[in-house]
Amino acid sequence: MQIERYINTKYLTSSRLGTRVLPLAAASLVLIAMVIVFLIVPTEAVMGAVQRIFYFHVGSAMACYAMIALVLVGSSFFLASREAAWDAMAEAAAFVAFVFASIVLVTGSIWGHSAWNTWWRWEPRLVSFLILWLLLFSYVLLRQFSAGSERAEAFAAVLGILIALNVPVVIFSIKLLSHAEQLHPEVVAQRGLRDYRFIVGLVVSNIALIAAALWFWWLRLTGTVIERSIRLGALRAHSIERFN
Amino acid sequence: MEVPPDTYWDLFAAYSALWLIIVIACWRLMGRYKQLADRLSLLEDRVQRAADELPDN
Repeated sequence: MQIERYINTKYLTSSRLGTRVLPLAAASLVLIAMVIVFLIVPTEAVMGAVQRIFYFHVGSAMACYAMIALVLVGSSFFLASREAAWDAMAEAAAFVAFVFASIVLVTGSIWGHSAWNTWWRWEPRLVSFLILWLLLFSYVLLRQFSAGSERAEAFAAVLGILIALNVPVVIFSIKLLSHAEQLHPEVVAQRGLRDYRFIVGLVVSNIALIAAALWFWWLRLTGTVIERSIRLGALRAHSIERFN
Repeated sequence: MEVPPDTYWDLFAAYSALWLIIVIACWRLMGRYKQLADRLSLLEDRVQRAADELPDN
């Protein structure tokens, strides 16, 4: 696959997909999701208004997993081909995944404080997600402190695959203990969304936040590729100057 | 139990405004990247011309 045909400064800054379709889709879908969540979905009987954070909490988790899927693709292909474009794709996706994972932790804590009267509880879903966040944080730190290092690119690719392997652990962690022993709900599996408007709100907000994540990923990827081109160009100009 | 439909115009207005700010900031960033990419392309042409002018060995 000629990935460089798509991951270069010219394509990323001029293609209709990244500069028109994705921004317009993300901007309008998030707005539609807000209309549904705040103006159409009814207030949940037990938890009240705070339950509306659920749509952004779950949607952010889905957007985070979608970005980690891109990290997995980019890291795997980079290890197989050593093409820098795959690495740039994984790096940009990991950064966006980290942002959305942070949103999940913050919204989850706010919801938990209201629903369970505690900001945090050491139970499987929360701990496994915290580990995922820490792995993403370490990935971002590794990239920030090792820009331009080829060895670090390979390390980051392995770390990216480890991050992706942790996602099924987070998803199935809820099955490790019985429902009586943990507070984190399994809303969809327990058929907690009885009113169809809850389901519409959840589906639309998931799609909207994934679209927003894709747009942010495109932007971050553009920034990463420009930064790398400047670094390479500067190195080349410096070597020509020395030769002269 | 029937849940009365509630609307939260204040929350909707606040979060829509926040989202609008994010969208405008990202749009401006996109424009900045386009400018940078154009300037980078010019710079790469100049570096290439300088490299072409070097003697073969």
